[in-house]
Amino acid sequence: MPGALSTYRIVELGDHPAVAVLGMLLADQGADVVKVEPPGGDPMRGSPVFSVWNRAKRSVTIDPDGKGAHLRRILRDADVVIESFSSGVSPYGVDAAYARSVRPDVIHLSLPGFGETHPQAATAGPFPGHELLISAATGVYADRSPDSDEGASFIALPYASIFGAMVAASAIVAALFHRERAGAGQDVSIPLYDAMFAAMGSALVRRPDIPAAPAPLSPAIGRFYRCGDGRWINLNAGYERSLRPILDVLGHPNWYVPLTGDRLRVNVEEREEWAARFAEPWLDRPALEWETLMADAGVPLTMCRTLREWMDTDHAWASGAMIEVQDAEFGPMRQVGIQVNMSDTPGDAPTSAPRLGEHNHELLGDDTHDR
Amino acid sequence: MTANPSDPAIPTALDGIRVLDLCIILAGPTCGRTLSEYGADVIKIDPEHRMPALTPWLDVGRGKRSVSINITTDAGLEAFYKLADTSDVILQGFRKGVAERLGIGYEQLSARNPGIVYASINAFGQEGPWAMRPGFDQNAQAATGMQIRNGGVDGDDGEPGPPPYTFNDYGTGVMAAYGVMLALLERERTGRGQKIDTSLAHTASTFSSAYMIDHEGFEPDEISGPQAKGTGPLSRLYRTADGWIALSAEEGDLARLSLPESESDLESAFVDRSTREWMDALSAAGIPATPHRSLADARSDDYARERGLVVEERHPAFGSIEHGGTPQRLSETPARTGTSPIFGADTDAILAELGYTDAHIAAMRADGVIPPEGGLPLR
Repeated sequence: MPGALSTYRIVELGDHPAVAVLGMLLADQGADVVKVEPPGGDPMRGSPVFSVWNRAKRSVTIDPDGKGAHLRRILRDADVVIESFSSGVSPYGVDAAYARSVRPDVIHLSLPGFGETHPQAATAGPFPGHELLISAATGVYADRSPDSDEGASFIALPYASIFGAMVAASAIVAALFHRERAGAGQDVSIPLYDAMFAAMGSALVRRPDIPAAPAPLSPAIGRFYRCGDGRWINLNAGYERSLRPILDVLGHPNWYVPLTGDRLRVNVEEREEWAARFAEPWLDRPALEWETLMADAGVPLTMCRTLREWMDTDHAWASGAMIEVQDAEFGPMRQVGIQVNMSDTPGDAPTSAPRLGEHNHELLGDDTHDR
Repeated sequence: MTANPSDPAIPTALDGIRVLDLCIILAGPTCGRTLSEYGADVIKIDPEHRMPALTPWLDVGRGKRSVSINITTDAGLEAFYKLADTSDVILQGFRKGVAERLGIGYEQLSARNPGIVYASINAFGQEGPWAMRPGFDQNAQAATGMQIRNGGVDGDDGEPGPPPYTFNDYGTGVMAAYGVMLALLERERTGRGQKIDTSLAHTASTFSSAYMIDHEGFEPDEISGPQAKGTGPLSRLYRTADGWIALSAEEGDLARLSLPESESDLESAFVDRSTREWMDALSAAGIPATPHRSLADARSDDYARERGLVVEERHPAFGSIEHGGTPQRLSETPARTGTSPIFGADTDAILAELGYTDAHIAAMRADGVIPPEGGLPLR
């Protein structure tokens, strides 16, 4: 069965990771994503990441100098135009008004790094929306080990770019749904900086009139324990009812009474004493063994794995979180799977990322001089 | 462009779409909230014996109506079926098999209402050896490398840690909403609903997609640990005299300020002056940089308030509150921010919409199927 987006053409303009990931999310659901690249190619070409984020797209090369016939030809058939440039400016000049002049019911979505009124954008002119800058400006690199002198820490995962792409994917389908029913396109803008506030989420909730309560501390919610083999487990049993099976498996059922009744949440001295006591029993077995024992008891406990270890689990493959894609450049590649599984519109398995300009002929015709 | 329309004359993308949201914690309820932002009528359904916590409720409860029904009772299940028959979308986050046991699985509901779109959102998905495992976001983060990376991957035995925000919960909810709307789009053509599923582990994999790669000759190179500062001397965090600054320069940029390009020389240079002084100098030279800021800094500046990214509100039940807003800006169907309901407060009105009489509602209340009129306070 074709994917739910198989009747739509998306034109992707830009070199920002966010726009590439957005294009991937759409292509994974069957969209015909045409990636427009300058004749020299996207700067990420040659990297394996390029092959992942651009899988199953088509590539055309168009010179950014001037809005030539080729660009118009591509835009004429575009249901959606998505654009985001690392430099903060679009060399193709395809803003919403231009896209609409070519295709009146187009949906134009831009993913700038910072909104046009952001002080950063205002003072420095076109301001690059680099992942590092967005993350640093929104608290992502906050000091994670206040006991040490490390200070701010970089995190390698491009959370801001990918989260922005996810929000953008939702907005595009909302806009397509509106277009199906009302016939009109629209302009969508989601600065990556702004999208970060949706990821801060409940951390933004405040009730200024109510004094903040001391942070609750449960031995079973969001805790890391080191096990007998030196590996760590994450225990995240969000309900008090999970405590009894945990204590049974740990061999300390008699701890149930002192641990319930919220004692751990209030009395600081007792809390620390109990936290120390609770750390002990895990040292009796290796982490993976605890994971299996606790899973059998219905307890949400997971061994902290490395990404490479996750990629080697049977579950990553069986659940479709990991797939193999035949890539033209790198051969058989293990890549992230399709994020959302649809029962009736599963779409086709992702194919290779395109070679540079691979689809010039089929999309632009023979006349490659007409720019 | 209005970020938060209150005028019902302004169309929304999902006008007329009704969603029943049975999810808890953050990921699933974010799906419902996202659909509400695009204009759906989202009804959150929780039993009285499983009251959500107030803080997340003020975030992911926004724009919803709240009904409390105990669907493990006959009368509660019957009311749920009536409501499901009038709905377009069901959202549930139970472990595999639980919804079917409750009588609200996809097959059961689509037999009554073939147009129903049914989303399952859980920790590890519906297929594979861990499909039966319970879990929350932190479990999916642990499984996929997200936490160990923060402690240090290579031989470093530092304690793992979660990322600073719950990206994965929110990302999962947004992606589930994406799937729901894909199914609604398809339903416009076919008239049929479908079942969709996504999981926290899938989202964690998407966030990890730049590193979740293997092929012949591939050499993994993951930056990890609390000592990580960036990807190279021109793209990293530097300590200044009074804080931290993030530099994202191109080769040659730093020559404009007669700065060296080696990491250790730059470390010594940056620490000599304040963040403010560096920002002035770098901005004047057109070199991209930003002060490293905390959540408290980001939430309190004028931009966050003006853009509606942080909203102050006087709520009839919760008093003065602040919460996040809506970053999506759509020109024709603006996204709505909405406010959070009182737990269970819409129960009577929605039962009445379904044709329940006052006497019937009173009987359900007497049997403990629904909470007291007007709902219950959350803590």
